[in-house]
Amino acid sequence: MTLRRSSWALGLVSFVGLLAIWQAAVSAGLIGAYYVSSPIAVGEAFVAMLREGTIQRHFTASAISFLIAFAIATSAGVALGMAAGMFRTVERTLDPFVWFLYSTPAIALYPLFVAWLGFGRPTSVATAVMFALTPIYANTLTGVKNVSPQLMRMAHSFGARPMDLFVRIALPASVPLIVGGMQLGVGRALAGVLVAELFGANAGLGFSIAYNAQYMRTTKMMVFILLVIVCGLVLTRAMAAVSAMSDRWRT
Amino acid sequence: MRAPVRARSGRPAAHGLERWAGVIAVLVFLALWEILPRLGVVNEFFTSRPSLLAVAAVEVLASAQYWSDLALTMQEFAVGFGLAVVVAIPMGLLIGASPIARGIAMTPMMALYIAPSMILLPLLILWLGVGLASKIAVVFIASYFPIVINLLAGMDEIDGRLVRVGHVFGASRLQLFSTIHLPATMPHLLVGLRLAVGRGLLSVIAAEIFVSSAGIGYRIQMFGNSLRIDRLLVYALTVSIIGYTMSRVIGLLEERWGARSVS
Repeated sequence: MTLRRSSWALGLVSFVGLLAIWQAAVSAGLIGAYYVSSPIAVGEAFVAMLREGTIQRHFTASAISFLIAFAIATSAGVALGMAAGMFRTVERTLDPFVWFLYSTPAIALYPLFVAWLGFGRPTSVATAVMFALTPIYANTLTGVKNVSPQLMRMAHSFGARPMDLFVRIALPASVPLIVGGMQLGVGRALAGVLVAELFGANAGLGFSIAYNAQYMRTTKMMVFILLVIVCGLVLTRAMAAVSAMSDRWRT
Repeated sequence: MRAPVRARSGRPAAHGLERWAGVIAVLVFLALWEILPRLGVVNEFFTSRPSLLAVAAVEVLASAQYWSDLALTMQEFAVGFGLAVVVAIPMGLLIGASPIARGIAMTPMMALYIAPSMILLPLLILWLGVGLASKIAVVFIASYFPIVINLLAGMDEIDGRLVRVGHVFGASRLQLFSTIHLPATMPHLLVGLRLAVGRGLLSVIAAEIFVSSAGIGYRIQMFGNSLRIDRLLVYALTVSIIGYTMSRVIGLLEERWGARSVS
């Protein structure tokens, strides 16, 4: 308990310390504000853009793309992982394609998506799905395969139908690994959405970073970069909480 | 990783379809990819065809430009990744040795570990220009944090009793390090390196797509813009092969030094 509290305190110290060093370095003229802006300017720009509604607009745009992509990646990943875990033939069929996806940095396919879908949300979503699909699939597969075969056989000999086996044993037993895959997927889906937006879109946090960079508006760019970093932290915390909950639910 | 095999021992051995399912799936995929555009079901303009891809591959591989693009991309990756390894390992060991240093450094490091490093690309370009330096920097950032964070996770798990026993029996710091710390952290370090390779490769391609005048990522972007899907795919497959090769190399290292017990 005290250890937890002290690690929180140290985290806070480092956060405040970084802001102080950043502001001091700019105020003292060690680094030009053109390159790094300053915490005070970033804070002011954040409030101003919040009043205009700019932040909300871009945040919502990214959040919608993210949610769609994460929902598609999770349902497809879990469905395919389940099927592959229950039927070996499905696993073998998918194997070469999964290997391809796993070793290809999905960004290499981004220009292909642009050619097919144009700039905008469909491309962002497609890129993010490609980023997030493999860990969710792989974890679900491992989860289903690790279900105790004795348990399955026992249920089978007591007359459980395949559907019962699936719903009552395979699914609950693999939930922790599925959630683990989703934990990996969250970060990757976020990265996919942002990178696609960075390259070409007309709204979103990634777009705002690239757009303000183009006009050398360092302060506004910093606002959006920091916002993305905070979003990443919040999402990861949230997924960790879900994971803790699913562990409790299972037992 | 292969532990699940045991779970299947109750089933009959793989019969024909099961064993060849992967090969059949790929052949069916290639056949459909070749036939559907020819029948006009999908537009060949957007999908290309395997036979066109093969022709494009021969053309591209015969060109000097391909090899200079490959060399440039690999150079950017190797320098960024190499620097990350060289800096991250001593840094991780230093931070891991002091609870206070770790408490202070952990939050900002975690934040940058989680955030996609590509969002820093516009900032890095502002600082370092559009040339080689900003690409090396983004690869460095993408690879650095996975190594440090996993190394720290590994150092967390070192058994304090082992260190004390070693100490009592008069082991020097170097001996403690090489016989206890290093073997205990190696599996975590390898996990970090695996992540770092993937993220580094992704970053270099992304950076080249974002802004550059040469390199694999640039070519992919260029052929995408001009709808030369066949050539785009040759370059994209090159990236896959690089990714696959690197992950195999890490896999071999993991077999040698990785976690022996499968959890």
